[in-house]
Amino acid sequence: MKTLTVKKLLIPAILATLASGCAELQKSQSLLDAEKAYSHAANSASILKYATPELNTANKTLVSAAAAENKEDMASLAYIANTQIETAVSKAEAQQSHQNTKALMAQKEQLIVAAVDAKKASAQNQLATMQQRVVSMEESKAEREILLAFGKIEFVTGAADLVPGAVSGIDLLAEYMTTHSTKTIALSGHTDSSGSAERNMELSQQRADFIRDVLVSKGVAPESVTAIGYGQSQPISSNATIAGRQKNRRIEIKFNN
Amino acid sequence: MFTKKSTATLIKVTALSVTISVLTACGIAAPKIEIAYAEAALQSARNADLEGNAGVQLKQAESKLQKAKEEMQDGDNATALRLANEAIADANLAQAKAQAGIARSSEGDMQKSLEMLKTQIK
Repeated sequence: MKTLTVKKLLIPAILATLASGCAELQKSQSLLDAEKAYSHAANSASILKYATPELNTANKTLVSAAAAENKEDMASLAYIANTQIETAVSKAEAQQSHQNTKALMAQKEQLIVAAVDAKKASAQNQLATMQQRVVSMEESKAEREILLAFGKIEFVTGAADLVPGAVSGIDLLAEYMTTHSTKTIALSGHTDSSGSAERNMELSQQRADFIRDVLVSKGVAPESVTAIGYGQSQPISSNATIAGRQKNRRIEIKFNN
Repeated sequence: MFTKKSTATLIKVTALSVTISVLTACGIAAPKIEIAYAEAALQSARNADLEGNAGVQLKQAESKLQKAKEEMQDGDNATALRLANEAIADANLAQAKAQAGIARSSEGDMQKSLEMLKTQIK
C-alpha cells in the first residue's frame, strides 16, 4: 500500500519534469523582431533578385533560433539572423548600385558616341560646304576668264569666220565644258547694223552656230549648248562709230547653271 | 556484505554517472574553428572597408571575437561559440556594408561624370 502511494506520487512528478524539459521556449522579442525584419526583406524585389542566398541563410538561422533549447542560444541566433538580414540588404544595395553604375556608363558611352558622330557629321558638312565654295569660286573664276576671252572674239565683217588668233576664248570654253559636263550654256550671236536686218539675223545665227560647232568638234556635248542669232536687234554700243560697231559684232555666252 | 544483485546495480549506477560526467564535460568543444573563421572574416572585412563605411560593424565583430577568445580560455565553450558565431555574422555584415558603400560611391561618381559630360556636350 505504501509502495503504491509512492509510485502514484512519483510517476506524475517525473512526467511533469520531463514535459517541462521538452517544452518549446517561448519566442523572445528579439527573435520576433528578427522574423519581422525577415518578412520585410523577403518582400523586397531587389533583395530577392540580388541576395536570395543571404536571405535563405537568415531564414535557416531563424528556424534554428525558434528551436533553440535555451534563452541564450535563442538570443544569439536571433541576433545572428538579424545581422544576416542586414547583410542581405547591404548586398542587394551593392548589386543595385553596380547595375545603376553600368546603366550610367552605357548612357555615357551613348552620349560620347552621339557627340563624336555629330562632330564628324558637322566636320563633313563644313568640309563639303568649303569644297563647294572652292569649286564655285574656281568655276566662277574660270567662267570670268572665258567671258573675258569671248569679249575679244572678233568676226570678219559680214562673215562667220573668226579673225585669225581669236580662238583662245573658244578653247577655254571647250575645255571648261568638257571638264564640267553638267554645265549648259546659251550662245547668242549679234551683229552691227551694217547691211540688212534680215541678213544680219542670218549672219548672227551663223556666228552662234559656228561657235557651237567648234565647241562640239572639241568634245563638248551638243545638247549642252544652245545657239541663237539676234541680228542687229540688241546693240551694246553705237553703230555710228567703227569701235561701236566692232563691239556690237559679238557672241555672248550665258552660263545656265 | 553485498549481494550479487546489489553489486550489479552499483556497477550500473557508477557507469551511468561516469557517462553523464563525460558527456557534460565534452558537451561543447572549444570553438577554435569558429574563432579562426571569425578572424578570417574580420580581416577580409577590414581589407574591404577602404572608405570606412563599416566602422561600427567592424568594432562589433572585433569586440565579440575578443570576448569569444576570453570565454574559451575561461572554459565557457558554449558562450565562446555563440560569440564567435555572432562575430562571424558581424564581420560578414561589415564586409557587405563596406562593399555597398564603395558601390554607392562609384555610382555617385559615374552620375557626376555623366552630368559633367552632358554639360560639356551642350
